[in-house]
Amino acid sequence: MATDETSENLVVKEAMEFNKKFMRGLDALSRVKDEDVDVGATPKTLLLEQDKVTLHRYEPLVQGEALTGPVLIVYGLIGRYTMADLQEDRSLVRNLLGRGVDLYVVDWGHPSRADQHLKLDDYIDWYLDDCVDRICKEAGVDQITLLGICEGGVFSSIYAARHPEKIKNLVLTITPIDFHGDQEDADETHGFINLWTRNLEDEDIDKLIEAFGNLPGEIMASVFQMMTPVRSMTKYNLDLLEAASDEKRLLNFLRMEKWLADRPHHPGAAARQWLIELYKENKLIRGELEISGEKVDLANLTMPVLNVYALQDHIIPPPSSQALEKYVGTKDYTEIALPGGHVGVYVSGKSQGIVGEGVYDWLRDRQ
Amino acid sequence: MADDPFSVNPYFNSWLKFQNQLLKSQEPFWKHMAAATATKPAGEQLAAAEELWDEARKQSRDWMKNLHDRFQASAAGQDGISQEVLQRMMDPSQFLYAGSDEVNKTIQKLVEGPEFSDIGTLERQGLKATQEWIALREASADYRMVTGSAWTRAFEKFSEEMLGNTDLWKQGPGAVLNQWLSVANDELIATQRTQRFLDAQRKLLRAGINYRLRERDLIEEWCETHSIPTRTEVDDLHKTVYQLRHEVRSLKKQLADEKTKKRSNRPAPASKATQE
Repeated sequence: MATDETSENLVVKEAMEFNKKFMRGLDALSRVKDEDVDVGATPKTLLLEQDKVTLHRYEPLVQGEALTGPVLIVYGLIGRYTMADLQEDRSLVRNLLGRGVDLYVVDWGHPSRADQHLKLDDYIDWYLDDCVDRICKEAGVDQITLLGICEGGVFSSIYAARHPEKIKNLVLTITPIDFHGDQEDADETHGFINLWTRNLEDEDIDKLIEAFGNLPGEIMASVFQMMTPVRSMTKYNLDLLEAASDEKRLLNFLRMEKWLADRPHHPGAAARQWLIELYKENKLIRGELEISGEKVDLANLTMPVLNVYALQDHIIPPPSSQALEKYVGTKDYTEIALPGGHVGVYVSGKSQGIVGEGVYDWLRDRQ
Repeated sequence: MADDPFSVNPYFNSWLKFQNQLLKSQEPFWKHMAAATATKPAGEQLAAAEELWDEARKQSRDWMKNLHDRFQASAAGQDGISQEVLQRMMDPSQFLYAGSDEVNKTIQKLVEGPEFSDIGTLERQGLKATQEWIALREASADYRMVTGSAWTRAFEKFSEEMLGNTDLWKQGPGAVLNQWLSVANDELIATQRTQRFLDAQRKLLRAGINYRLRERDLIEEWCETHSIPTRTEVDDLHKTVYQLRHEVRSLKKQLADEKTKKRSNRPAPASKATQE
């Protein structure tokens, strides 16, 4: 019976600790105000506004002239750019500004059903092109650097391949290039989105978009949640309780949740291209993707290219990003492989310095 | 007694017993389903699925009550909050709906949407008798079967591991819970990559969308009868606006390019020295 008694004590002890954490968490949560959970808070000035798209220039964090030419952060239409500026101590934006980078960001906004006909062509050859021209005018230069993130990395690659004369350097982070690259990744926790999308018929995707006008943000969010099923189930009880025991951790947790919840709808026509022509048919690396009536040739990427990917990225499997090397037309191609997962590249404390410093050092050598 | 892991702590004892009961109660059902899924008429298949979940929920409630009583006895003086959260975390019916059921829930939510009490009520009621509605319910039941089987396999594996590792029980509920979550996660991830799961999910998505489109048809008929613009008409309008925006943008670009061209073709102004 001694074992039973010990176990009983353990049960009571754990229950009491749990209870304490719960009460502490309740107390901490009751004190959090909406403004405490601020994401994308680094000060910036509006340069261009067109439909729902805005272009901002970040205020410099260091005195004196910028140490690099203009760099434009390009996020995708799945999620928001605020991932790169989640909080003061976890922000690629602040890391780069702190090193004297002249930094800009394009925000695609929250597309509605009225935007359902926008295609990738429009985002790349219309909005992004206007942003690049506006930055060139603002900074008095002919070329800028693009820093693409995930789907934004695909936009940046296509733009740079179509307008190489306007791009000085191309920096890609966690970007899919070979959309069937998951088949080369042995880790079965990687690449579920690739598999899931390939299993859909084109007609399913067409009908989904016909029914909702766009690819609903909720669908993408639930597919992401499926990739970590138990984590999705425990995060609002076990994980939140752990986080709530420390105010800083709680705010980190809530900021991340705020970013995750901010999942805009993906304009329908662009989603069709994204899911069918890229995810299913892998047209980009086959040289068959057409933008504004012309085929995209990645061999036109003749500018220096930096490709940053995450070794434990379950959303964009590493081989999917690494494939870029085979297709670029430059010899100045560099890779940085980071430990951690997809979002970790931007939000984990560990990768903060590595990404900021890695990108800055690479850029500085190419000014 | 000490070697019997079932006797180590009271609420995991209850939990394991419950899970075993659940498995036992499901056994005839799974056998029945495996044998009859291909040939059963849709109505019976749905009823069987409902029966399974009703039974799981009922047993879960019984188990919770049992757990609550034991907890009261072994941890007197607790204010009940931690008990409630712990119980919820270990409630199997929570597990049955977790993780992979997200897409199911999202589709249901998107499909059902807000229902206006006075718009198209009759049409909406009529929808519940359509092929699309039946197909959606069938697809949902089929999907839950696949997910439910995954949880059952996970639990079987977990039970085997726990029976073979009495030490883990002694590390307390947190350690056991973590073990369960780890096993369940692995099983769900493996299941998601099976063709059966992928097909069931595609079928569910397709059925949800078809239902939604059918609903739109019916509502649009109602709107047309009452001279209210339809979704299709508004979408057409969006297309027209998009095309116009495109043209305006192209024209603006063209104008700007021509201006730049003219400026660059203009002869440079003569310098002061030359003028003098």
